[in-house]
Amino acid sequence: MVDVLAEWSDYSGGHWGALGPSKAGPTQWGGVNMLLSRQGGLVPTCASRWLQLNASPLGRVWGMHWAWGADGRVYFVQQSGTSTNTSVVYRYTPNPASLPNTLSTTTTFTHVPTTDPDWVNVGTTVYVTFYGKKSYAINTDANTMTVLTGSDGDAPAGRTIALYGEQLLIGGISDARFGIHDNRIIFSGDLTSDPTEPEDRTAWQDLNFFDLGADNSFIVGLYTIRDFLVAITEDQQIWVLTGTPGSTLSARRVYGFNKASGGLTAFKAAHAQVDPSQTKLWMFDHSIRGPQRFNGANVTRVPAFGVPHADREGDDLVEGAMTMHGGPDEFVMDRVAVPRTAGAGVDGHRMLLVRLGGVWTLIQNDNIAARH
Amino acid sequence: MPTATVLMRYAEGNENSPIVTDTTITPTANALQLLQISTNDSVTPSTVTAVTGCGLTWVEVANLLYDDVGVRRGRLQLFRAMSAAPTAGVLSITFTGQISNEEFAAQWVEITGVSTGGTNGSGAIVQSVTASGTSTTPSATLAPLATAANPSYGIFALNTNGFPADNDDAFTAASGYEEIGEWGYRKEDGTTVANWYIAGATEWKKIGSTTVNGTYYASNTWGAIALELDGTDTAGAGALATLASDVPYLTSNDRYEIALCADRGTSTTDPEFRHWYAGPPLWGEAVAGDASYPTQYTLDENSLYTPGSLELPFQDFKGKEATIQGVYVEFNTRPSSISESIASTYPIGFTASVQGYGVPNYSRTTTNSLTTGVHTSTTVTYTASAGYQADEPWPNTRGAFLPIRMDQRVKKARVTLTDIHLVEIVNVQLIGDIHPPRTA
Repeated sequence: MVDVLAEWSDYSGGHWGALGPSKAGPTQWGGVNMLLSRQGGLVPTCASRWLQLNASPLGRVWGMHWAWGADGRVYFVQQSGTSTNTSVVYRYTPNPASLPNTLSTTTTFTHVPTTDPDWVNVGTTVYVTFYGKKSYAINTDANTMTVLTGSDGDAPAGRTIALYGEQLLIGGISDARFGIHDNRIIFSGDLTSDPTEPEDRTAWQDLNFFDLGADNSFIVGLYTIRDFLVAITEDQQIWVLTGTPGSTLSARRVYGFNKASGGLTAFKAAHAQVDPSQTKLWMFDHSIRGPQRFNGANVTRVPAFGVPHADREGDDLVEGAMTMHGGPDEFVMDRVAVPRTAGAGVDGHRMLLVRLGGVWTLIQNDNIAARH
Repeated sequence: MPTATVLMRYAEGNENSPIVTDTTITPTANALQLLQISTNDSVTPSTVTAVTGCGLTWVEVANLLYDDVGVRRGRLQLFRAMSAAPTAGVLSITFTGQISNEEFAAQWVEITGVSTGGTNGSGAIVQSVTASGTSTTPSATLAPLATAANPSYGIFALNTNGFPADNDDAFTAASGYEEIGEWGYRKEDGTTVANWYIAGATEWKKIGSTTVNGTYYASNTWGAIALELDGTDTAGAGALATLASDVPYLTSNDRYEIALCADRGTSTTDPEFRHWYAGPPLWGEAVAGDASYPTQYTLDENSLYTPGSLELPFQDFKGKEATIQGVYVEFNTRPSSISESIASTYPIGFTASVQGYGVPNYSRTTTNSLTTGVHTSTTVTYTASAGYQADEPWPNTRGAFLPIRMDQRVKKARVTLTDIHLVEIVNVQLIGDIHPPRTA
């Protein structure tokens, strides 16, 4: 007698990752480009679509920053395609409902980046640091960018910038005033006049610095979770810093003790993000090309995704960019590696890993991958 | 990514009909062929009535008599063609009357990466408008683009008394537009050199806009034809250019956006910078049962769209064996977005197959093709058309039975759905018969 042999109506378990169809739970599933809808069904989603801007300036783009919480605009730096030593900072308000979005120029300045800048919002100001050049403050109301400087001199420039307490910290230093110091962090604040008021972010005194680890540990990411600062180096060492820079600071390394020969030096600031809960850091682990999280004490990998990278040197630096969205533990991570069990039609090199509503899913992003 | 290539320019004067071009051209299969023809004369210029050649059927798109007064008068015509199997050859252009004291100039542009629908390129041209005037800024305005991503294309012609010393600088494309080409021809017969030029230019913008314009070096009477091209590359299935040094920068909102940066390079032919947005599509909120459909955009078949695939875990029949009769799928069609001007009906569907494990009739053999006891069914595809969500009750749940038979007895089975487009999968059932295990 004909009967229903099996029924699948609950998809809340998310993508089965490395488990495959035999070991997956009854609510898990494989495949790509399917998201869990609020009604519990699965809906296909496009990989991506482009939203036109009203202009397309020439030149390589070196980084974007959504000033969410500052003015809601997206800022990006573009090396001029017509002038050899000039870059332009543009901005636009992303609005898919009204196209094209309008580009406007924030500033044109004499510099060609050699690596991505790093950005941080403080109130309505966006601070941006250009390794090898200078750090700047963008006034989002006036749409101007000025050199971050004060009575002690210009602020340093480095690979990464973060706000820790009231102080700005810049790590992985290279600029004309402070020189080149891969493992150095320099902090703001006028601590000589009044050590109890460190919030002067234009004050960058000569001795307001400290070094982490060996001098070849290149600091590329600074993040603030809970009440401490996390510093990540290019080879994925993780340091936790507590206390106040300039007075009670202490630092300890919690991950990355044993560097194998030919270890990966591929980490960039955009490869880690502070979770909206502010209690953990999600990051792209280049050694497995998959996600991992750091709660301040332990590093935990997500076993379902990621496999060892064929190229241990990590030349493919485009992988790993990520962003948080929505609630805690919800993020998008670009170009994770996935096992073959991920499903039909999976291309292991062009996967977007999405965690939405507690459910993992994979998006095959040929459109974006085509631009790598 | 659409590309435009000038295949030919040809100029002639004082010739009888037909004019036969002198360069053998091999058009690309399934590429849009655009042939613009300018004629000018001291009287009403001739009209081209037919174009043949290269195995193409040329269809007139526009015939604009942009100047019928004065010393020199001008006509601009545009023909389109497209073929899956064009042949190499020359063009034969038939026109009314004799070109006495008349100049003739033609430019043939081939465009790839646009829709191959319709016949002879009709699907590749969404709309065309013509305009004429006297100024330094020829311009034509399109109606709102059917799809914001479609390219806009401009064709300009004019007669000029004199020409810049550097012929390449007569025309400047509008901001955001890329000039495809410009030319100016004048009659020279022995000792007599005319001052009047028959001139023209073409430009396009790969992410189009409704205003199609440019600037000529001096004020003249001009004619313009503006086109909106359908940028759907159905043949290439959305194949896009590859850039060497792009880096993604992810930003966040309540839905995720990927703000991608392209290396715009230093050449105007490099792919354009774009801001990328990646799902979830806003219609995902609508399937929550919100009767207030989002006014923001959603996806349609013409967007850069990737269908979904869904693989379900195995169902173990616990010692028994099963034969499969089919797969029943319950699904909701997704709403369309008014702001995208989607057609009133659109195709939906998915393809299903079943895999059975532990098929006793299959044996393992140590050969190049190892038989592993797995049987995969043939695929069955469901397709239908769905209308505007506003026209249908919510939720518009539908069911489809896909008759996927597997007569071999299997111990485990699973279902795979591929090419899922524009539906929400709600429930999947595997239908069949359970049999007690066979005894020896």
